[in-house]
Amino acid sequence: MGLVRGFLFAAITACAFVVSFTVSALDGKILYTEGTVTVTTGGSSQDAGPGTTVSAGDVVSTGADGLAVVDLSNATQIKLRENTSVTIGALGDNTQVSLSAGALFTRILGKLAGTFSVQAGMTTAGVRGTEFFVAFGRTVDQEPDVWLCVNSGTVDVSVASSGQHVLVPAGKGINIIGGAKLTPPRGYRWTKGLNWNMDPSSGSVEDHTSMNQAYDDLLNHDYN
Amino acid sequence: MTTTRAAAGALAALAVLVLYAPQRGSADNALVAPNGVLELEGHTSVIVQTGAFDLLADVTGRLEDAGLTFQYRALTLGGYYRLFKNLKVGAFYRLQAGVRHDDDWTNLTPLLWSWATTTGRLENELIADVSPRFLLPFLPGRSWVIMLKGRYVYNTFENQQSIMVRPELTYFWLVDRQPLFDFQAAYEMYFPLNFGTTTIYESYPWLGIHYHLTPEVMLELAGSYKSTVWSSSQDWLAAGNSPYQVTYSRWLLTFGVIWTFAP
Repeated sequence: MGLVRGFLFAAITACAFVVSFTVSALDGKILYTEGTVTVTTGGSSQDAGPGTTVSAGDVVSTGADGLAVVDLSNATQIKLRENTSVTIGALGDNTQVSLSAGALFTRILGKLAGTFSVQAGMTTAGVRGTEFFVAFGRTVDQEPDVWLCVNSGTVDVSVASSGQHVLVPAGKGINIIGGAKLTPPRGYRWTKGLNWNMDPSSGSVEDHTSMNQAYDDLLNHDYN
Repeated sequence: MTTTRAAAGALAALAVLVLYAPQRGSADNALVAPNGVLELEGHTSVIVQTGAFDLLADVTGRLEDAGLTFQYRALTLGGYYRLFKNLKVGAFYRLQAGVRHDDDWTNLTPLLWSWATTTGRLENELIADVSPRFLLPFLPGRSWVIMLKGRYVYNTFENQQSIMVRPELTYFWLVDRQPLFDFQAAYEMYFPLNFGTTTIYESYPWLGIHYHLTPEVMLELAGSYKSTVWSSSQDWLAAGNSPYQVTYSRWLLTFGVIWTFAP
């Protein structure tokens, strides 16, 4: 009997360890915050700070003064700018996050295990070993534009509604017009000011690039 | 130095006028406008955008008269400062030659007056610019801009001062949210402040197209029908001559390349 109890305890402990290990391996963790950052789990929101874990289904949001750097556990980090909302769709081998507002930087640390994709509206950015920025732009005709630019590596951007896709190389960006039409990749001046740093110990991680810069300022033209 | 040159120029002009005054007055003002019908202008501008400042350098040359001779040439340096979203102010210096003024007539043969050669005469201009502009999003296409360009121009040669006013309407043809072409319609008017006898000495409707080849390079094609009025100068009238007024109208085609950099 004692042997059975001992075996059961050992088995339960082992299972618990395995479950615990599995959960922690699939969780993400907030590494750094500024201002207001909340994590919404199952409809309930809580203030978040460094060390807060995030799981699949959670929504990480930043306020007007907020910023958050989140480790997504599979060698992927994301940085949320102010007024940004990201849903963690899945974690693990096929990490997927969904941007519903604001702007997001991503970075792959080392070799990516599995896949990583970012959704923004109908746009999906599939990544293999890269660093890129994705943000909602202006809403010109009902649906907002989605801007994406790549700092290193390559991003495969696809639009579900049209089936279009394009590879965006490092140093180039695209605009997904109204979240539906892909523009050819090209260099954009406004991307030069992006702050890709996600490590507070290496300097400021704040990025103040206005998405208005992505649009031509028609009032700024003087030719003579 | 400039004042001395201006004074010398004025004296020389006066001397020419006095010399030719009897013939000119008695010739029943046989002054004729240049006989060209078309002028061709080329220019290239470099614009460096640094924050609220746009630094500008421009070189312009123009072929004029019936023989399309190289007459006008100018170098302009200066810049704009964006004071508000809807208002830019600017200041420019221009070094130019080949400009014709009221007293630049000469009579090569009796009763036949023509322009003196001014291509070797350098003139300095100081320009102050105030240009409010507004979006007109309610118009079809929504990418219209109306601008009222206003300039005060001080030409150190004979101390001539004038005000330029140019209402301008621009439509930007956007492709993928970026301008591919813009189309401009404008009407430019120069009001002399201290010379001439007319309210407007030069005016022209102006139509232009800019092709935005890349974000850095833009090609320009513009056309206008330019009218200039030369009239009696103070010196001319002071010499006791009867007033004269000559209007010269011609077509002007402009080609330009505009380079924009934002380091």
